[in-house]
Amino acid sequence: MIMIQQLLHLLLPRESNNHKAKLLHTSSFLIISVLLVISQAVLSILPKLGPSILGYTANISPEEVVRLTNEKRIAAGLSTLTYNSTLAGAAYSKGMDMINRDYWAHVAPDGTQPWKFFSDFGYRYRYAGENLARDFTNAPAAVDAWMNSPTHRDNILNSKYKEIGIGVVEGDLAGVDTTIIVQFFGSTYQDKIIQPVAQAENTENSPTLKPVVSSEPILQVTPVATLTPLVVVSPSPFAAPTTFTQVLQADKSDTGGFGKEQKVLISPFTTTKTISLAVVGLLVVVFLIDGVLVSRRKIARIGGRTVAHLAFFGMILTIVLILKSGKIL
Amino acid sequence: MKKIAKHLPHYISLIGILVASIFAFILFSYDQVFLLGIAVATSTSYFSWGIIHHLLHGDLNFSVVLEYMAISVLGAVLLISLLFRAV
Repeated sequence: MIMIQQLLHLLLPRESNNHKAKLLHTSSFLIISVLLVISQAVLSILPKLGPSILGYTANISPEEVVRLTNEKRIAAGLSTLTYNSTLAGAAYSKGMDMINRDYWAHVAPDGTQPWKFFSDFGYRYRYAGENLARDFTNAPAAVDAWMNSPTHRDNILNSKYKEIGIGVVEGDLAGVDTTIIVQFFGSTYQDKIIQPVAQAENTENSPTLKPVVSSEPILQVTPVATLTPLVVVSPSPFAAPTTFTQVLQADKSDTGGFGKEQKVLISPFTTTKTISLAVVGLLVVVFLIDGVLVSRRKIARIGGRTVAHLAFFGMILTIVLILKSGKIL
Repeated sequence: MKKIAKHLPHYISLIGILVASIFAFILFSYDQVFLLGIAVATSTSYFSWGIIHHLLHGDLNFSVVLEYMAISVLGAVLLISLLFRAV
């Protein structure tokens, strides 16, 4: 009985709460704000305290990213990009480097440029570019996010690129289990078409991948650092190239990139979204009930406008509903 | 309803601010820093709208200021925490 009274006190305008639902008092808004900040702090601290339970489950295949990228190019009247297994190996290697060294950036903390991965795999580029994405649940969402960003779209729709390689890497980034998509673009001085896009699936499954080695002379032009996403023109000196197979074998045991067991993960984004929806939904309902009851009872109150508050929370509700998970770089 | 009709320009401007924010979140969904700016700007705008509206209406007092401030802070916390996890 006491609990029901407390609930009514919290949700309905009554004499006990000065004819305004306790949940709509200024102090309640501030308490909710503090609780939300605490919940975010818990979500951030959780990975440091216990086992890895935070993460984003995803179902992304490199082939689908290549197909979607080519669809966008065709729609823009451009030629399709040819899947290149060497670029794919370089992209995968970049993804693994981010997981192993725990960073999310085009340039590694020690200053390692993305172009090093091109060079390590023996890809002699004339033009090269990189798009990054993480925490997306599916490939179309990631490609759409890139297309919505002018700089990333420029990379996808750049006519100078002839080849593409995709690396999809799963692992722990800052305590959160995530899926990283690395999209490498390139064109060599030869611009030879190695494999048609339709054969991408077969190539990906093949363990015997050889790096592209060009016999053309290499121009020694210093790569230019640009704003994200990265695009660079020029080749660089090469060391002994690494193969995709070597990287896969080395990484399988390290992070479980491919051999990883499926586990139940708590998505930080979905958790935050659910909490936000619950809070805003409850406030909107209580505001509506409060507005109707106060209007019917003709209660004069000093305070803000219920209609304005409803409009404000309606806007927040809309934004909460339209926001999707996933970061691009 | 009478209050809304009496201050229709106030509410039109408020709806304008809120709708613009929603469109900004859709159009610039790839830019986290920009969206953070929009979240803060929207919350600040709502607080300012409340103060100006009540000032013009002649019923501005300290408790009203606190109420708009608390709601604006709550709105900003909701949006920023989501952006922190989403984009």
